Amino acid sequence: MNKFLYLIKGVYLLKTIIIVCFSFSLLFSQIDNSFNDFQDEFPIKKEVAWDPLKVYNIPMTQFNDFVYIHIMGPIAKGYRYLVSKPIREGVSNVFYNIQFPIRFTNNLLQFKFNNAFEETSRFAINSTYGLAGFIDIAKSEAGLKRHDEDFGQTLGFYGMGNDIPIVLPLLGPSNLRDTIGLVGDTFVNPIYHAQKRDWNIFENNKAYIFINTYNMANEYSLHVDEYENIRKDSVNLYILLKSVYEQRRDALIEE
Amino acid sequence: MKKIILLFFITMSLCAVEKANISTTMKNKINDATSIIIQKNLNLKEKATRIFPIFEDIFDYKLMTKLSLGKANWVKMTPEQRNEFSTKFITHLKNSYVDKISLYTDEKLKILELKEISKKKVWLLTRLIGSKDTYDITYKFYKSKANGWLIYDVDIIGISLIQIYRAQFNNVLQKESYATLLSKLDKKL
Repeated sequence: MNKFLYLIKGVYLLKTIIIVCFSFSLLFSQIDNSFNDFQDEFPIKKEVAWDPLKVYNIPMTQFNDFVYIHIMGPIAKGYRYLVSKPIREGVSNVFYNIQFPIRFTNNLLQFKFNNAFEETSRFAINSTYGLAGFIDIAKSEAGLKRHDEDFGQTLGFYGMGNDIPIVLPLLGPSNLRDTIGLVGDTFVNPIYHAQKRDWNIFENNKAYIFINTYNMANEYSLHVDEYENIRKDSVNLYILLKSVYEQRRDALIEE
Repeated sequence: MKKIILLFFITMSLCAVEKANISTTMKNKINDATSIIIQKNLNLKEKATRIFPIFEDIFDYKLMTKLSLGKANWVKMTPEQRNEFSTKFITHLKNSYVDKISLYTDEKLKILELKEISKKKVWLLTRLIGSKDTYDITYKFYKSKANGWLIYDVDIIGISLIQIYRAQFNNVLQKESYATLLSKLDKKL
């Protein structure tokens, strides 16, 4: 008899537990309903990234931001006021055109032979008929599109992750992979070889420094509004720029 | 009473965007917005007040707030906090969107395709073609229960709007507090 009583008690207890659990799950499912369809798209893992250089990265972000807003911004805006947009775009095209070896090499390294061939055609057409790349005639007349690839993307293509974020002086957010990539790309970057060497005509580094500074100022004059605009979205500037950079790079590597 | 309910449902179904109309609806909306942007006699604020109503019924701002905070953070907040935060963030989102389209100069919009992601999600792929650069913009729609297809995220050249807010909000909420997050958002308004 006693055993039977225990059994009934046990069943009753089990029932209560099940009901409680069920009602809880119902309650939760009601609260979180709207999240269910989006959990794959916005995983939590992405946000809790390992960041060993944070102590350096955050002040460097603030330094860069200061330089962009208070020094480069006014310079770029003054320059933008003096020089019309088609000319600035043309100058940007020239710098872009001359860095063709970077794109060619990295397209090859990623087995994108078709793109490498198209890049070569673009370089040949734009360097001649396009007046050293000033006019992107290959795109407007022949419909040949750009195929931007750099060594950072190549490393990403071979599976290297974006694990350690590094903020570079003036260049802004990057990571270990892309910093290695930048160094790798300098070897095939013609602008880098404008430095003083035994085997070239440059007697000092003035031309090299001028070219780089001018390239940077010209490029920034085309994008100054974009930076100041995206900055407005910040609750935490370092995290914002890092997220923007990583998402953009992931998209480029996926292409 | 029955009539009112019936009327309510009729108007609802009129407002709601069907899947087949997403492309044309968005194209019209963006065209309307750009026609306001290129008017030179209006300042940014006047432009904004005219642009907001155009997109009011197609963005699910409430869901965007929730997704930006993330489930873990949203569940922890009290209903008052949720309301307070939503109101502030939605204002911020709207202003931010108008800021972004104020960069618009001479680009041409091209609707590429309506990509079906799942039964409940479609992405509208669009491209802004400028004199030098092109920008791919994806408007991400989901099928809501009552209001047809609504936007839950916008992706510009591979950068998801929700994702950049998520990263930031999560960081501030982990390292600091809800109060700090709110005050930081306040400064933006």
